Amino acid sequence: MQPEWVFSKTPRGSAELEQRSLGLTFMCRRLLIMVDGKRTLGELIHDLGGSMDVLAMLEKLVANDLVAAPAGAVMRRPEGPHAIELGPKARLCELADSLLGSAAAKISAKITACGDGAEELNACVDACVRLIRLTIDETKAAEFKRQASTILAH
Amino acid sequence: MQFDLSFVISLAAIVVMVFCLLQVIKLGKTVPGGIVGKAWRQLSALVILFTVGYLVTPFFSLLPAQVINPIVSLIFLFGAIYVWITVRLIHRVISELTS
Repeated sequence: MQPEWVFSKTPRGSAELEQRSLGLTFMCRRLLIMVDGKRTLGELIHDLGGSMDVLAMLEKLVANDLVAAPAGAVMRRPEGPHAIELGPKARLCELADSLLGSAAAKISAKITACGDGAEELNACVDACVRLIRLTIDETKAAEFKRQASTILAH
Repeated sequence: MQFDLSFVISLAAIVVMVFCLLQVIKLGKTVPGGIVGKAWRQLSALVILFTVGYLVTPFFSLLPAQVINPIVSLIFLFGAIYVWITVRLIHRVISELTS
């Protein structure tokens, strides 16, 4: 993710603000309100008190089709001096996106929904590997497991 | 073609198998790949084969015995393969979920 990226609400995101059907946390809802197609990612982080959780929440909102990433943007680790360091969950989502392409949505949703603890993340990765092996591709499951282990080891 | 009990049973079997074929095509779109996807494609091919085989059964009385016997034997053989693939798939799914 780059600080200059601009995210916008999807029709589903706008509907969620009215219906409150997904039970978003206070912070997630606040972020969804603030995503307006004008504020940059850097501004969102600044306005929300510089919290790095913004990235994980944004990943969750994008994975649930509530927020649209900028056109042509791939949710992957940033580069350059202004890069923002992603947490393990965001990096796992990034791995799923790069490895599985269009089939990554379910996996990303699973990752963003799991807890932040090491045990929870390990259990989540195991569940994801099983899901990939059963419904997507056995070779990609092995590769996901290998790269996810590296991410979780750091 | 004889309109007796076996004809009615064959007709019922064809209706059920065509329904299965439609289900396989409809549900198959939600199975992208992996172990389940691979087995699903194999089972789909067998369902197509069964549908064709079942469609022939009402015309058995018109066919010579030397043609009917191999057809019936093939249906039995592919039926056994279908069961084998299904059992193996269930075992793999259970293994994945319990590992």
